[in-house]
Amino acid sequence: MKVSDLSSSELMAQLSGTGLQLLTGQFQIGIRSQIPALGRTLALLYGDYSIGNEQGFTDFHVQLRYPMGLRRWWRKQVVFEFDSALPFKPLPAAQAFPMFEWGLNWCVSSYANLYLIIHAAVVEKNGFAAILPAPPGSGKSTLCAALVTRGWRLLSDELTLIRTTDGHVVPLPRPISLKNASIDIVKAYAPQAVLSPKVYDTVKGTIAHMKAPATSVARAHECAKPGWIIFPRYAVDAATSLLPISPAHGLMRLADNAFNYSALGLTGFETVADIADTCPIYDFTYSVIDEAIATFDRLAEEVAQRDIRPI
Amino acid sequence: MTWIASTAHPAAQRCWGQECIVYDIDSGNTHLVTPLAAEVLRELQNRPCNLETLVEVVLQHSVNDAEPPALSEMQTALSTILDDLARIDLIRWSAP
Repeated sequence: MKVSDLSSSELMAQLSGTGLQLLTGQFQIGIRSQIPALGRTLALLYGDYSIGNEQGFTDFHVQLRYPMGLRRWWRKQVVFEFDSALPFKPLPAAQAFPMFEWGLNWCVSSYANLYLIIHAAVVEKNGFAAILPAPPGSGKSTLCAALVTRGWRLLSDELTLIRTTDGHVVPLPRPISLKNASIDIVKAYAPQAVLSPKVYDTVKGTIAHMKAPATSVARAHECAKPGWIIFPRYAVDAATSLLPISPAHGLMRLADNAFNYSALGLTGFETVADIADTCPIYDFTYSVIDEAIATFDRLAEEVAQRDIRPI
Repeated sequence: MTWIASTAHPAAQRCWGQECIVYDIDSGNTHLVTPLAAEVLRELQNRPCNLETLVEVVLQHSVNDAEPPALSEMQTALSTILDDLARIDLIRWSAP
């Protein structure tokens, strides 16, 4: 059963009752909330996701709720509760959905140490994954959103999960977080894309989330072999350029972008080193999205023409 | 002055051309070093060495070298490497 099979009242009943068991990639998330706006955005962006078994193992139990106390009578707020703890300060109630997404990212990046977790978008074509590590503001999510509207499969917009046993990328396709100017850029570039309503005045500015393509969600259990490491950077009026980086420098930068590189110890090093050993690594600068897509498509074509087997 | 590796576990290494990465398992630190520095570290992980011993090792590797490096050149380069490796806590002086 999928989330879209529930009526809005059934969805709210689950959320406000025992909780909605949402399956995202390898994780089952138990979500509880009585906030109607959160339910509406979940219905809009998570309709294609399967509902897990209530008796099954839930990886993360989260709840989005209004805080207690007298403060709740002025300018409503929302808190993110994880296993009955409140890891974050409250946010304005209008930010319930972004808070859910940020909180879920925090859960995965803090606890899923079965994987090497890199702060990177990751997309796949022809069986190979392009891993895009980058700091906020580099145009990573804009590029990721554009690529998945042009035939690339979304594996993740924010957290690249590398399985340490074989180095493969494990998908975690969830909505793509767009900020500020990139919201309208993506709307104009892909009018068919489904976006959440804009949420204003967050710590990251204005936020909207783009729905993950249904095909990416349906293939959430198909892993991909890392094909390229590409450090993207959007620069106004810049010419498109793809410059190789040495494996050693690439390894250092990849490690810098990993949440749990140190926690994994030697396993983390070996995993990153294996990627640096087998994947070409590039610095990528762009200002024109179509040129960026063409560059990525060329890389995927080269792999296809060499008839390299992904797994 | 004798040097030894300061880590309980041998550091992991990966090399590509003129660049090597050394991962210090004890501290969790990762370092970008030259291949020569990586080799010096490997040598010191096997046994304590002083500068003269390390120079001898290099000379042994240069037996068939038509233009072996000058002794002073080797000493300077190896001294710098030893200082650098000590600075990042991969090696230390050994008590006599």
